[in-house]
Amino acid sequence: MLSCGGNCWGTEEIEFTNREALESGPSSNGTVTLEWSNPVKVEVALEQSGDAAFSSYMTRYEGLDRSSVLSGLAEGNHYFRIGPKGSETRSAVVAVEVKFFRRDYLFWLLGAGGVVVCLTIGTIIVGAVQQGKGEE
Amino acid sequence: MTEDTFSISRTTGWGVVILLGILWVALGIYWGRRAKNSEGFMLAGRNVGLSLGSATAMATWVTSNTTMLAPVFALTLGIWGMLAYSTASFGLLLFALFVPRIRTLLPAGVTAGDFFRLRYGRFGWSLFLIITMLYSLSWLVSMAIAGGDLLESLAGIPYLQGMSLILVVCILYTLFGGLYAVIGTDFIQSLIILVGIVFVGALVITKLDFDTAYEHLSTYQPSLLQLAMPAALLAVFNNMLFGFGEVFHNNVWWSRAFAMRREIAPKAFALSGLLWFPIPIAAGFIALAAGPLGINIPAENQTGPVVASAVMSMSGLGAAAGILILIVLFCSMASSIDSLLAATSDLLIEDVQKGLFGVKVDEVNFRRSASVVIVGVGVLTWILAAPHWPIINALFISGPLVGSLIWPVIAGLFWRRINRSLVLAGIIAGSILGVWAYFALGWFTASLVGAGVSMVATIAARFISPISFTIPDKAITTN
Amino acid sequence: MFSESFFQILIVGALAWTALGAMALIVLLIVDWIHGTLW
Repeated sequence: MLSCGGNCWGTEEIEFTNREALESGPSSNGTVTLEWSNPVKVEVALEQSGDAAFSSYMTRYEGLDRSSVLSGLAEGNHYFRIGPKGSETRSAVVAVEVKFFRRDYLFWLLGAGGVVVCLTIGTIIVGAVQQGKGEE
Repeated sequence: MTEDTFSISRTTGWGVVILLGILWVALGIYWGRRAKNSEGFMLAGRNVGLSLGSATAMATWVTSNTTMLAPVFALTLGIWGMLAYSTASFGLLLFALFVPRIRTLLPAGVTAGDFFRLRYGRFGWSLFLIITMLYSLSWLVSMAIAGGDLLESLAGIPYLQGMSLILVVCILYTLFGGLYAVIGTDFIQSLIILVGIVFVGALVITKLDFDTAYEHLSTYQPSLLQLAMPAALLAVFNNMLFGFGEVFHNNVWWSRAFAMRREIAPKAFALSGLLWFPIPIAAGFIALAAGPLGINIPAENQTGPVVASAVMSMSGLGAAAGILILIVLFCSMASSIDSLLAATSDLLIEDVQKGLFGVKVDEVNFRRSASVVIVGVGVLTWILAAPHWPIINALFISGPLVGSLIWPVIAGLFWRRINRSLVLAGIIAGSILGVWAYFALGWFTASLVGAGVSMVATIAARFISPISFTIPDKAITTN
Repeated sequence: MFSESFFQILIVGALAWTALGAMALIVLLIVDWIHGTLW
């Protein structure tokens, strides 16, 4: 076991390892995978906030794992930080943006898809019914 | 890396696969004795009943993708993700409507190639063969790769060994038993898959309080409950059309249409679609329980196994989790690999060897010839799977290709007059534009573009200089 | 948002449907076996 006076762990050791990937571009489906280092193998606390100052936050995970998939995040900016559980020290905040597919493009895509699918299914049903009648 | 709570020892991994393998091969040999001739081997005597027929269609469509991806879809795309995945069953339901016409048009039909040769001539037939070989091989290879990955992540068995073991087992029982073995084992595998999914799902439900779960999701994962979640809706029609293309064109389904008793076949496909529909939801929803139950998911592609084993551990069954997961996933893979091996070999024997090259094999030598082809397909699969290339991408890219075959199949079955050249041009245009769309517009547009372009061409072909299909619209032989 | 009751009905329904499917296959197998119409 560790025996050291005072603070045995520093936040420079518990740090997000995929920070670049997370901040490089927005997530289009609200799912982010956070990965971090934990060389001292203590229980960590992963926290999420709606503002970078962390005036209010939620604890998303506590434990010994070194990554976590968080899904279903709403559109907007989300901030995360990590640190040893039970201690006040925390890593630098990582910012993740969630931005969904443009609603107008989605509308056109769904419209086009709907037309093709309906025509396809409709033609099959009409064809099958006509064949059924023809063979009686 | 995290401690995998669902890991099993290498010995256990080998043991489970070998034991199940021995069972399938023994049954394959036993059931293979029913096959007295080529028709018996390729089409199980054209007499398969409702129970075996429904089970084989359902089980073949449940791949390891279904059981592994459904939780990922639920985790990332929420309720709409699961519902969208369930629409893949529509292909089976619609194929039920094709079957009576298929049996009328081709009473002695053996493969889907017979239909394409009949309605679209040698050129159309060749187009079909190229597309279906590309698609079938990439499906087959990606299943083999998934098998190797599974044994490596669950039991630490080196990829090449695990992949080879799973492939060899499937090749052996398909070889010895033909479609009888494939269909018989599919029934057992389908029950194992369904029971496994229900067992884990029921365990999750006993641990879950729906009020708290819903509240947790609303607070922490609100997008998953959204009525109009863009990421989930984006691909719903595209994936539906991909599924239609896969089922409508492929010999895996056509061979079953020929193998079942004539009056049974439509019911069997309809039932298989109904059986398949709830599976993505039943298998996937466990991912929605992860948050509420405090189960951390370290990586997306481990969602299913992580949640399943965590919940089993909560119920004191932790030790069995890895074995259960291995058995269910192995059955999902095997039920698809065996069907693909059989259907692809049939195409090579009937359409390529006999049809294109005129090399007929008499009944006496048929089993030997078929064995060579099945082993050959298996070896080719192994060669393509061994380097562990991302073949799954080839499968996705084949989406617009198979999508462009949807309307040609519909027209060929139900319409009397068609401008054949225009239809074939539609297949080519749909394929090319669909693949372009895959890279230029996004994967979620590819099958839609492929199907849509082909649809426009095929509809035009009905009105622009259509010619009656040359063969009279009554019973035809395949020779 | 999907309602809580929809959420619950969807999940329980899907599980029940899947279980029913397994039972249906077994029943159909027995019926086919008795009538000699398996394959």
